[in-house]
Amino acid sequence: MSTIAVPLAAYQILAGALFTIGVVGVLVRRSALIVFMSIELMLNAVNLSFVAFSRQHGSMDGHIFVFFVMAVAAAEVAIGLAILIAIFRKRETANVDDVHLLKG
Amino acid sequence: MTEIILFSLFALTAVTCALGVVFHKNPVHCALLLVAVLLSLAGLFIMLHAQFIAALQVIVYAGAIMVLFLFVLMLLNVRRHEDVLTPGAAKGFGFLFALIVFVELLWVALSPGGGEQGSVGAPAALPQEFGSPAAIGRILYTTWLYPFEITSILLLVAVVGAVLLARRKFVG
Amino acid sequence: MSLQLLWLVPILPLLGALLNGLGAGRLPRKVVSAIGVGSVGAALVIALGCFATLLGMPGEERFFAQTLFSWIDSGDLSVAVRLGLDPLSAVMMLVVTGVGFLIHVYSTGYMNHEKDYGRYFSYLNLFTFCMLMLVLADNFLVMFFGWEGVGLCSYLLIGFWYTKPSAAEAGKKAFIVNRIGDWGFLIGIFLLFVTFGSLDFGRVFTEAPSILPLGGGMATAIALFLFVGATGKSAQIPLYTWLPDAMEGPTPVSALIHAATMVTAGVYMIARCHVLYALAPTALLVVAVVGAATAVYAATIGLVQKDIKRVLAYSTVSQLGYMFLAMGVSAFAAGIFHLMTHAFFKALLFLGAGSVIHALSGEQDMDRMGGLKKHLPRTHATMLIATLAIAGIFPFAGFFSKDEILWKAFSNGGPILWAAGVIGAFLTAFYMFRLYFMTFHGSERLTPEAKGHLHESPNSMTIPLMLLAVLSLIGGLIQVPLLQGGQRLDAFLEPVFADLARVGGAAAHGAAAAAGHGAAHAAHDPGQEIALMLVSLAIALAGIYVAHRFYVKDPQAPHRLAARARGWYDLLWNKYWVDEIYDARIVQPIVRLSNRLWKDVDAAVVDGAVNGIGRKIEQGAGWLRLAQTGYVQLYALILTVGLVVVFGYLALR
Repeated sequence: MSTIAVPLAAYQILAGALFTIGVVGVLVRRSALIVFMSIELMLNAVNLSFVAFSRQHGSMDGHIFVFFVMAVAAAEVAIGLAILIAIFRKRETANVDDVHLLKG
Repeated sequence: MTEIILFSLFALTAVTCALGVVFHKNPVHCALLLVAVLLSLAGLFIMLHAQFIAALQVIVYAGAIMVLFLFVLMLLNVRRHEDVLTPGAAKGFGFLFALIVFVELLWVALSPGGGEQGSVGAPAALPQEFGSPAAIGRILYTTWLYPFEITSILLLVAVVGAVLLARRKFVG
Repeated sequence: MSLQLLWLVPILPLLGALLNGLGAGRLPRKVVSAIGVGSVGAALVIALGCFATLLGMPGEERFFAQTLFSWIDSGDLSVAVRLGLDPLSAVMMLVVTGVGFLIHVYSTGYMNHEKDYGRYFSYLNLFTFCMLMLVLADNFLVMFFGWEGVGLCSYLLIGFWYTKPSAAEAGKKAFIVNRIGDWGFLIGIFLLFVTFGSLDFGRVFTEAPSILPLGGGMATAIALFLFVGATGKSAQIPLYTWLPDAMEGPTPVSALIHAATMVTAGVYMIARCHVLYALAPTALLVVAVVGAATAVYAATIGLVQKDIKRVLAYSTVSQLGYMFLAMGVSAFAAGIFHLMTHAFFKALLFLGAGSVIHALSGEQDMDRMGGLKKHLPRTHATMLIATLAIAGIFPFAGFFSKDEILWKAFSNGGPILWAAGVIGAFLTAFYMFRLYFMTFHGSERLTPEAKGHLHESPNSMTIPLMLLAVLSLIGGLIQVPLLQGGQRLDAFLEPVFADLARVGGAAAHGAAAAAGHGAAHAAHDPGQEIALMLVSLAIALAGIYVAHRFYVKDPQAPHRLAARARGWYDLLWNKYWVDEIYDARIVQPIVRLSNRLWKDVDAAVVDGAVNGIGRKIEQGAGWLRLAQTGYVQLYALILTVGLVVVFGYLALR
């Protein structure tokens, strides 16, 4: 336990990779559900980063942040999926590019 | 050495499954692959002495939230589409900018010192209780009491909102 | 009575105005009358009490100030609403409340048939409040408040019958012409503030002799700008044109505002600022010349007018000219004396004329009057007294006051100013008796409609007439010339004007010195005074005699004279075409300029700029709108671009 073989940078690179994959998912997938999953992916990448930093600095504030991120994610998923259902009922689609009522 | 092997294992699983989430055609498979990502992250959390967070990750994320996803997935029963990705130039730009983001993140992660003190070198020595539910509970209910209470209000709002939005006779 | 009650004097009429104003149209007439007359009556009682208290004090200590509240406190400017009572403001306060009260009583009879009874009394009370604030003010800003307030009430009351276009026009004319004067007054106040750093009467007048050099540019400028304000409010050349038109208002209003009180505000203001004027001999000379010129000029117009109220209006302008003449020759007390007696007899004349008009159901043309002596006995008797008073016949009030002004004009101002005054006196006697003879004597030239209506006015109208007649008869006795101890008003006002001595003996007769007459001997010369008195009395009698010849003995004479001197008659009948000249030389160019400014500057440049900016923004918004595609993923892409920029900044920092 005294020495750690995996450096902080490795966690950061992994977090960055997951985050980027999440960004790609948000930007290129049509299905709103998958877009949501990609957002979860991004949030988790950030969580990983937090926990890694927490470990590095020996402070548990990072854990608390992760806790809050999870709470917010839960709220976001609940509302997001509810909106999705409402849209699906009205327009028979779950694709983000089919819904552009706010076009200026 | 064990740690490096474990880290590589989890990291590889996570990245592979994440790519699967983004590019797989079947949404149900996507959801299951996401569960796999979440679980491997839980493993990494344990390696980082965040036992409590790891438990939450499994219970709340992989359990509750993903079940919700699958539930909605079944409910909507979305037909399979030929083109999974957005058509047109948006796709190309998406890849391009995502790549730039990744390069920049790499740059930051690998730059010596990262600009901040203590980010490199040996990690801090950890107290006995680090990452335990007791330790987290203690600071959560002292330093972070007000944000914690506000979070509960947020969740209440989310519950009410979700019920309102998902009602069958949604007036709008 | 305690002087602490002083604040009630202006406040009571204000309260009456509020009650009648808010209750207009709902309160019964009896209540409206009770509030309207009662509030001014109570104010009169308190004013009399305060006056009595003031008399009981030693002469030098007759000053009382009451601070009501702090009004403005900003930087160097500190103004409190403060009432000041000294002999000068006490005289004005008594005139305003006394004559005002009688006119309120008269109004209950005269306006009895009026629909907007409550509104009328509300305005009248509001006017009384503003006028009292003007005369009781203890600094220039509160005085200006009252000054503007009476202007507003004058506007409201001239245009009281606002459905009549000529009345509405006359109201506007009065307001706008007064604004020109107010501009001068304001500039004067600004200069005072710049010079003294304060607007309090006490401080300004105490410090003036030490700060302003005698005859210096600043003193002259302040005095002249204040005088511009006075010419507007008190209808002097060149701003007198609004007053004759103001006769469109109800007759009691003409009596109260446009004869007895408001138009004398300018005289009061100059008397109040006598220290400043004493420091500016040139300004005094201007005041004297303008006053004398107005006295003669307005009297000549009054010679030929047919409308009974217009004759009185020009007479008012002319009499105000006398008061300014008195101010101009440093005879401040004499001017205030004439102001007071004039308030009595001119209010009486207007109210009498109102009684005639009332009896004839609104007829104002003297060509359709005549022979009313037997029909309106009370009105006739009181009008005769007032006419004798204004003509300056011994022992009526006007004789004493006018004579004192003429004497002072001679001794302080020289023979030219005196001669102008005497010519004015002759004309006054002539046109006033012309009015009297045309109205009450000679053949009845009434319209059949008026004849059927003919009746003496009710008691509510005739009793104020009789009271004013008594005042016109004996009012002059408070200031008897020559007699030892007879100059009671002079003695009463003496503490106010005593500070003239500090300005220096030369200034007191500066007007004369500047005029170059060298007649600056203040020594009392009884022989000369008696001689002058007899001259002016003879002149007045001559005027009456000529009027009698023309309008009683030989009614055709005026027509023959008018036919012989057609040009002169037209000139006077058309009031020297001053209104037309003002219109062509001042009003029309301003209208044309305004039109140009409106079309070329306002519509083209200002509106153009505003509309242009609006159109550009609309255009820009049209472009920007395209960014709102409605596609979530495009928004996310833009977010990512932002992310790239932020990360890039952090990475390369």
